[in-house]
Amino acid sequence: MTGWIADFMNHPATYLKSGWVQISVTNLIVISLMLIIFALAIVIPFPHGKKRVPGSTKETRK
Amino acid sequence: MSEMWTAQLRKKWQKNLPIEKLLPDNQPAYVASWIYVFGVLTLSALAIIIASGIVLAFEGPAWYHYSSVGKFVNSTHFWSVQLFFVFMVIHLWGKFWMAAWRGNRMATWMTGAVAFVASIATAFTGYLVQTNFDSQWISFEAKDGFNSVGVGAWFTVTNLGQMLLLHVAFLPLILGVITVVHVLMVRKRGVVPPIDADATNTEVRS
Repeated sequence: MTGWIADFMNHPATYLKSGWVQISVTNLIVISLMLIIFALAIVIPFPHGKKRVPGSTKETRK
Repeated sequence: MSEMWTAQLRKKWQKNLPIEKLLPDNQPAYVASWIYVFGVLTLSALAIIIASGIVLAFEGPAWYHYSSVGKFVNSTHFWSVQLFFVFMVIHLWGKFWMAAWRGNRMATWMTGAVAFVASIATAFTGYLVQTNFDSQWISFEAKDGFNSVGVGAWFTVTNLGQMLLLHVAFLPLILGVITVVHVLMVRKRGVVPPIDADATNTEVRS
């Protein structure tokens, strides 16, 4: 493995510590990204596709 | 003369889960939200995991450690597990905060919770059977933990054969069955509405 990935990965993890709380920077990034994705999934409007009348085989654009 | 068990089972199935519910072509309007996408994203990741896992099982460690294609499939298996857990946890958060056990959906919630635990066990044994220094380190750290709670005698994390069989046979079977039951429960009870959704909201979108 070479390049910036090797520079990033080929050393022990960096840890943040505050009292009894300890977390690696990697885990902190992953959990933060998940929280951001969760928040975006709630606030970003879902694109509305074809609207279908129940019981009908016809599809109409809204 | 009493009905045959096959007829009884068929009638019970048709009553509880008719084909229209099993394979619906529309959903309530409130499903048109990104937060409702993460369940099927989890299933998609699981499909990739199973497919790549089958290839790894047929080709073996010499192939996936040394050939380019083998390394690629091995990485695909590994990273689809990471995505599987990301999607599943966001799905869990979404369902937890909308109290998805409402409306007689307790079994749906419980099978999801059990699937989560089964996934952790399956992923853990997966880490142990990578056949590299990473798996060696994880197993030697884990054995002390399992020994300290008294289960190391029958769940031996340093026993590669035991962990491999659990990972490729027993645990995927358990996880697969629970996942199928979970999806069938979702079909039976319907997708849970948001807490503030109008109970009469019957508008449907494809």
